[in-house]
Order: sequence, then structure tokens, then C-alpha cells
Amino acid sequence: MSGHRVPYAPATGCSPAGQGSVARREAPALSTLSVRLLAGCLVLLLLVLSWLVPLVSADGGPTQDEVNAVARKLFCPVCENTPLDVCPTEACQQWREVIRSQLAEGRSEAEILDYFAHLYGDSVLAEPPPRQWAAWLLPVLIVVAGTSALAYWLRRWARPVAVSVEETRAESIPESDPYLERLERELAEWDR
Amino acid sequence: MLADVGAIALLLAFAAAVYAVGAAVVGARGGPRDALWTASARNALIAVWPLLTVSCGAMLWLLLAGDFQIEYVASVPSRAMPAYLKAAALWGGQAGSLLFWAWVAGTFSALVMLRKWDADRPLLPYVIAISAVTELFFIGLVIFVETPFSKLGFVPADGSGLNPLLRHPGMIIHPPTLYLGYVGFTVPYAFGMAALISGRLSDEWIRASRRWALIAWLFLSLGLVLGGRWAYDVLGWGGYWAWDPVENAALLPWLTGTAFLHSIIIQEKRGMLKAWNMVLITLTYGLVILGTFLTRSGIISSVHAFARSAIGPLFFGLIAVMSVFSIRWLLLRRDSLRAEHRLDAILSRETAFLLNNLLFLTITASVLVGTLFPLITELVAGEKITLRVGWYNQVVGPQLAALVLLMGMCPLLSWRRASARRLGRAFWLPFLLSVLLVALLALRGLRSAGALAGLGMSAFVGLTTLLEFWYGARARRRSKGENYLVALNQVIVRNRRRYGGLMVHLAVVLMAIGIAGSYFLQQETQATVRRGETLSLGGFTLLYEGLSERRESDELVISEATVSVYRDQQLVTVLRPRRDFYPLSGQPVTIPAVRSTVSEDFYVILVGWEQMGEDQATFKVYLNPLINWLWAGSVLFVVGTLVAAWPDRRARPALVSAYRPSAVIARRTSSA
Repeated sequence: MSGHRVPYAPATGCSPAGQGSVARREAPALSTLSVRLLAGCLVLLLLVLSWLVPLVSADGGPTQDEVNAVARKLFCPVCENTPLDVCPTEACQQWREVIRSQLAEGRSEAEILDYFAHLYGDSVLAEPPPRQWAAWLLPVLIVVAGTSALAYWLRRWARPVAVSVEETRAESIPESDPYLERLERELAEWDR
Repeated sequence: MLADVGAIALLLAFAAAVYAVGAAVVGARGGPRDALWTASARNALIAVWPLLTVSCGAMLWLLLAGDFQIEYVASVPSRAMPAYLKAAALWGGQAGSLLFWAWVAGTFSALVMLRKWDADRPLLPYVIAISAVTELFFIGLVIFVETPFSKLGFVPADGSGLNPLLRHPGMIIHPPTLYLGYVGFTVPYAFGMAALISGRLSDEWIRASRRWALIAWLFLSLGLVLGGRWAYDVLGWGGYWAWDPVENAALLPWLTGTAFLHSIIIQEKRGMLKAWNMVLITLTYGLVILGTFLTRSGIISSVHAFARSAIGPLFFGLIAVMSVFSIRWLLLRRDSLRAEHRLDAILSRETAFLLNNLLFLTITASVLVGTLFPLITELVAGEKITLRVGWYNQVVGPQLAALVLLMGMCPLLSWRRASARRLGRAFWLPFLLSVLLVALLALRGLRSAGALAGLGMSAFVGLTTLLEFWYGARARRRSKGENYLVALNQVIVRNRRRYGGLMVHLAVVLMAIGIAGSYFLQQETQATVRRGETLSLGGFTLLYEGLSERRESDELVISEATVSVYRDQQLVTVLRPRRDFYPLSGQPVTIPAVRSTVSEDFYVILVGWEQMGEDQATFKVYLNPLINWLWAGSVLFVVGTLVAAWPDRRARPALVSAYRPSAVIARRTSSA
């Protein structure tokens, strides 16, 4: 069930540091982090090995649609901006395998997303989690600021003012200007 | 040898552009003999174009002939590539694309120089200077930083070949279209700055540059749509827009450019928003440069950012200098930019236009924040957080919907003061019909709230827009006695700007239907099937018939599956989804196979296969309802823009045959 095997050395398991995930959030104690990373590496390594054995889960495990339902909410950090459920690279197939096995273990979607976000940073999530509150706050600020600015200007402009220069000039043209009459006539002709 | 010709032509073009800037600055003093300097500057700027053409032509020849001693030729095309791709390699790499960019800019500048300058000659020296400075920047990049003609010390046997994802006929048309759109906005910017600096702040500059802005905007729109279509046809993820940083980079100037095209209407009709229009065109030009910067510097990684280099700071410098320059002149002229009129009522078309501008600007700011978020978070928190499609859809989606809704109301509001009663009369019929449509769809089993809202809104806006055409044709039929078709045609021809604009609005409605349908109603499934087994989705059944593998060339292996598609036990079509594999770069490209109709696309991707044991393959299948409305809308979009931009050949000067002196009337006639 596989295409061509790409000789690929992605940061799927063992070099998450390259993805800048070490320094994320409130910097958990380094030891727990590295234990977690090590565990992640081991799980991935096992999965990569198991992947080399052809596997078709005909035994009633999670369906591919169930795997994709989770995968489409993830992006691997290697392939630029391709959702995980459709990315054709080998690295992404391995990620999907991780999702499959976690689903088989009975983990929920939220837990799996959290697992990947923990290992690789929040950038892998299709939608930023609440802890990235700035991402959600900024657009609200933009809309509020824009609307207030517009409301301010509307109020200023709606205030009546003295006759403007343009109108004064227009009034200084005598009513019975033959040229103006002709112009109006021609304009009227034109508009028909 | 040919490379030397190209390089020398570049140097000459640089010299000509430098001279053009200098002579234009002297010409701008406005003395009696300075006009000669302006004329000379104009000739110099025109001369830049043939020089750049020689340079681009030389590069094209080198690419087609495969002269791999040239570093650029060795790095982009390869022998096995078809000729059209070798030619397209001109914009397939960093140095070449900058050279091509300079050429496109040169073409625009030369065309602007050749227009009729009678009425607005005082703007000419400034327009020359600003166009030439932009030219200088890009030619300078190509001469001093990214040199397309530099040679290697040896001759490689073959080039490294274009990125497999780019080996597609779309490569011929999509990048040049975008470049035309991008670069085209230099022209209205140059006119705007010319008006600011010369102090000639009537709508002269807008009338002179409106059509250029419209053409640039058309190409930018076309480039965006073509990119979407290309992604849909090739990238194999069932979609057309991924909020990729480079897609965003092209969308940003489109957004501000669209706001500009709308808000200049207020300036022409009501003498308001003069300063704001200057801000908008400056912003658009700035976003064009920023977009180029984002794409070329690789500061934000993306599928498109095929090269990373040190040109980033130079672009940043250009943006900074340009912003300071524009803001300085804007502040100096702020007194002359005051509005000639006040807002008469809150409920008026003016307000609707302002709301339109607000929405375009908040969308721009949102997309910009999203695109730059990795940079912001890296600066603030030390970690790059990339925002993905889920964020964009939730942030931008509602704002776009509001914009579409506004689009349906705006043309019905009258200038200065609109009455709520008239508005109600214009709205009740479309409103009733669209509510009926929603009810009907819901009764027929459509349960997605998003789709119901989207389709209902599209129907409402589409109907109000269509009614405008109907009212126009009916009024004309009454007054002239023409039949409806002739009347409709006459109405459009006699007011191209208005009805061309309304056609674009209709096109946007069609596109909104396509987007709402494919976004809210998309279905998908994935499964592994043995040969002879089936897979079902949304009333369709797919039967796997077999898989073949063939070696197309040393560079390309194609694995192609054959599947039959049935609907209600009837064979509808046979599809061949495939995967192209490029051994040299180790990169797979998934090419979907699609059965496309007005109501939906059945879109099949070959995900994987196994032939050693049992013959089985894995397919991912999408059902994308209504997506063709998006593409149909794009065609109407182009037609509408052309209608709006088409020159009016009626003999307008006859209007003022006998009158000259009054300033008011001169104002009116010059708008003809």
C-alpha cells in the first residue's frame, strides 16, 4: 500500500529540536521534556519499523476516514502547508500511522492533537489552541479598531459645515449663462 | 557571448533609468526650457524597455539552447524538460524571475510614456521619476545581487531541473499574470505620488490612472484564480486555496487595490476621501513590494519561496524609503486634500462605500497579521507559530461574507441620502425569493447551516444585482421602445463602468456559491480496495480496475490507476488518477482525476498501492459540490472587468464644443 519510498530524513521523530519546539510555552522542566521526547522517539521508531512490514488493518481497527478526520487538523512541519491527510510524503504517512495506533489505543482526537502539539509545537495544528490567545485576539482588535475609526469619521463628516469652496464657485456663475444652458441641454441629450 | 550581450544590455538599461530619474527631476522644475529635460527623460525611460527586452531575450535563448555554463541555466531547467518549460524557467528561479519582473515593469513604464499626455503633462516628470526609481531597484538587484548571467567555471552536463510541482502548463501563464498584476500597480502609485508632489490634487490623477489600476487589478485577480485552479488540478488535496504565505502575498495588494477602485468613485462623484485614496494606493504599492519581498527572501517559508537569499534587507529598505517618502508628502499636502463635501446622511451610498473600505482593510490587516504571525511570535515569544487554514477560515470567512452582503445593498443606495422606504421596496422581492430558496433547500434535506446561509445570501445579492439590470433595461424600453435585449445592451454600453462593475459583482456571487458549496458541503472518504472492489461516496461508486507503471523518461516515473465511476448502476466515466515520481529530486506529485459537472466534482486521488501480494490501491475521493460555479464566476469576472475598462469611443468632446472659461465646466468636461 505504498508508493515510492523516499530517502527522506525528516524530523519525524528524533530531531524535534530542529522544529523549535524545545523552547515552547512555560519551558517545562527539561528532564520531563526530554523523557517525553525520548518516549516519542521510541514510539515513532517502533512505528517506522512496523511500517516497513506491510500493514492493512482489516481487523476492525480505525478506518482510514477516522484517521484522516484527525489528520486533516494537523500539518507536519516538514511539508510546507500541506494538510496531513493528503500529504503524499513518507514522513506524513508515518504520522498518519501514529494517529492510527493512538486511535486504536482508544485515545480521543483532542488527546492526539495535543500529543503532536506537545512534540512539535502549536504550528502543527490547523487551528491555534486557546493558549495562542494572541492569534484570536488580534483580529478582534483589528475589527474593533477599524469600526471605531469609521464611526469617528462618520460622526465628524456628518456634521454640517459652512458652504464649501466648490459650491460657492458654482453659485457665482450667473443663472442665465447661455453656455451653461447649452451644456445642460447637451448633457440632457447625452443622458438619453 | 550571448550572456555578455544580455549583461551589457542590463547595464545600459540601468544607465538609462538613472538618467531618466535625473532628467525628470530637472524637468520637474517647470521652467520653459525644462520641458526639454522632461522629454529627454521620457525617451530614456522608453529606451529601457528594448534594452531589457534584449536582456530577457538573451536569457530565454540561453535557457532554450541549454547553455549550462550559465549558472542560472544550470540551476533551473534540464535537458529532458519540454521547450515550454525551458522557456518558463525564465521565471522559475530567483535571478530570472527578478529579471522578468524588471522587464514587465519596463513594459508598463514604456506604455505609460507612450500614452497621450496633453492634458496632464505637469504630472509627467514625476511619473517618470517614480517609475524609473522602481525600475532602477529591480535592474539594480539583477546587476549587483542576483546575477542571472554569471558563468560557472565549468560546464555541467545537465541542469538540475525545475521543481516537479512547477512542471505544468500553468507555469506558463500563472506567474506572468501575477507579475503583470503586481507591477501594474506601480502606474497608479506613480500618478498618485505625482499628483501629491506637484500639488495638482483634483481627480486628474485618478482619471489618468484608473484604467491602468483596473488592468493591473484584472491581471492580479486572474493570477489568483489561475493559481487556485492550478492547485486544484495538480496539488491533489481537493482544494484551491490554502492560505499559503505566498497566496496571501498576492491577495493583500488585491484587497487594498479593490478598496482603492471603489473609493476613487467617491472622490470622482463627491470630491471626498482624497487623502484616503492616496493612502490606499500607497498601501497597495507597498504590499506589492512586501509581497515580492516575502516571496523572494524566504523569510516566511512556503511552497513558492523557492529561493532564499540576502535580498531581504534591500526590499525592506525600499519599503521603508517609500513609506517615509509617501507619508512625508501626504502630510505636506494635507490641507489641499480636504474633502469638498460633507456627508449628508448616514444612510447613503457614501457610507456603504466607507463600510466596503473598512471591510477590505480589516481583511487585509487580518491576513497580514496571519501571514506575519510566525515573525511576530518569534520576536515576542521566541517561537515561530504558523497560523493555518482553520484560523484563516474562521477569521476571514465572516468578514468576506459581510462584504458580499454589503455588495448586494450598495448599488441600491442613492448618493447623498437614501430613503429607507425606497430601500425596502428594492429589497423585499430578492429577500422573499432567497428565503424561499433556503426553505426549499432545507426541505430537500440540506442541513448544513453554513451552506444554507451562504447560498441564501448569494441568492439575495445575486437577485438585487440582477434587478439593477432589469430596471435599467425596463426604463430604456419604456423611453425608447426598444425590445428588452437591445435595451439591456444599450444600458450596458452607455454606462460601461457601472454595469461592468455590476457584472463583476454577479461574478463574485457565482464564486461565493462555489466557495460555499465546496466548503460546507464537501464530502470525502479514503479506503484501500482490491482490484475489482468498490468504494462509495455520495451516490457515486468507484471500481478499481488496475494500475500501470511506466517510465516516461529518466526523470519521471508515472504510476496510473484506472477506476470506473458508477452512479445508480450506470457507468458515468473512467478516471485515471496518478502519481508522478521524479527520482532525481525524490519528489512525488499527486495528479488527481476529476469528473466535473455543474452540480459537483468527483475528485479521485491515488494515495498508495501494493502490487507485490494482492493488487490493491488506496484512494482518497472528494465530492466537491458546486465548485464549477467558482470557475464560471471567474470567467464572468474577467468579462465584467473588461466591460468596465473598455475605452468609451463616443465623441464626448462635442459636449463642450463652445465653452472654455468656467472652472466648473472645465472640471466636468475633463472627466469625459
